[in-house]
Amino acid sequence: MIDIKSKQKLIDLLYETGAITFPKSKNPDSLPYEIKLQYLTSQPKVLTFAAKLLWSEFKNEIFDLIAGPHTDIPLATTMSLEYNWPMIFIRKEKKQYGMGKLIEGNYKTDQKVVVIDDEISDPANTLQVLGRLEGSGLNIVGVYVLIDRGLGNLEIIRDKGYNCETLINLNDIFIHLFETEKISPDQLTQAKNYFKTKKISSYL
Amino acid sequence: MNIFDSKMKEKMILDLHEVHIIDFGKFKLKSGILSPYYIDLRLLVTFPHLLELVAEVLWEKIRLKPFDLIAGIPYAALPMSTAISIRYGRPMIFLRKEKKDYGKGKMIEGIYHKGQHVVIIDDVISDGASKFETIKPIEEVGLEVSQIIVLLDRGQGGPQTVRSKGYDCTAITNMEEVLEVLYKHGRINYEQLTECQKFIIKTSSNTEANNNKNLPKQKRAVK
Repeated sequence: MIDIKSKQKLIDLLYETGAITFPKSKNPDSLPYEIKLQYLTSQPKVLTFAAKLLWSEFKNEIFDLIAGPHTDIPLATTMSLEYNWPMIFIRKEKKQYGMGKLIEGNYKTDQKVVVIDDEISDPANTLQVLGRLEGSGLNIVGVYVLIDRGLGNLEIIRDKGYNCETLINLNDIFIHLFETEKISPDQLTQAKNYFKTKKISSYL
Repeated sequence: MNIFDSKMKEKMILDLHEVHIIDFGKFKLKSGILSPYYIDLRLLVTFPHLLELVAEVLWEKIRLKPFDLIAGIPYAALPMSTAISIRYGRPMIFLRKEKKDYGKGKMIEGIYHKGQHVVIIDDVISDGASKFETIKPIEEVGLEVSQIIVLLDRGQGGPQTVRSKGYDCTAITNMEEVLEVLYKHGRINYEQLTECQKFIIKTSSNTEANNNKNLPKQKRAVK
């Protein structure tokens, strides 16, 4: 388990980087908060910090490889380099030529894999990735993500029988930024209300 | 290139062969023809130590010219760019494989500002055509391509083609040099060497470019 101070530091870093923003706009249609984890690659130190923190979530598990979907190559590579641990990645689609493979890197049947993702934005994609890994004879130890947006996506993965954990969730972010006075009470209320409507629509 | 750099490069080539990233046999290429060797730099991710070494070799070249951002290209080059970014603390942007089908699809991810100078890092270069597909979206958002650094030149005139359009393009090594190093260390035999060399000559469309190469001439390697 990660200590609360490290999580708060990560939230601070993400906020300072601009990966988490609370745009002050008069436009009622604008989002009260935005999370752009793609910005992590522009801040190698923050990326490294996030990678180390996420690693400590599963370091006690037994696993041979870490795996990232193609969009998470930077995060998974950072972990791989930091801990000298072999990595594989999953292509978007199979090549039409040459050594057509869905999974890139060296692996053997029955190896144990930890799957890394910055977030689960589409559970169907994640399940496809897990299916491809299992279809190639690999065993899934768990899926570990940086941020859970609270829309029930992690639960969908868990319902299929996978271990699925997040480093931080939206509530951690809202509360910490409010307590450190980075966002106002109004912004907090707006963000929470917006989150509720989003959560409801995700169930429709 | 100093002695230390060339030693490092030689070790890199030997290690790439050791783990079968550079492999010999019969391989069907995109064009349908059979190749006596195959290079799959996507395998690098399973060998973090070697990825680190590749990043170091690339960095020795990259650092010589000022730049603001590193551009990562999926798939094989993205881990290399990431390794350089985190090892040397330089911000990275990366190109998406395809534009998202929905919403405000962005081709380039990360933080960047108009006018910043970008160094593009790629794993291999063939005839150079695909490099322009990489350059285009970078220039379209107002960034300037400061240089293009490729790990391996396949010997089909790629760097010359890219340079002819006014870009600074360098390959760290090429197939001739790879073969020479592997032969020198007894990793491949004479038949393999000549078979690969013949294949390179046969597949290189640009003979003029071949003559202009600054690295080992075929004669030296055949000795």
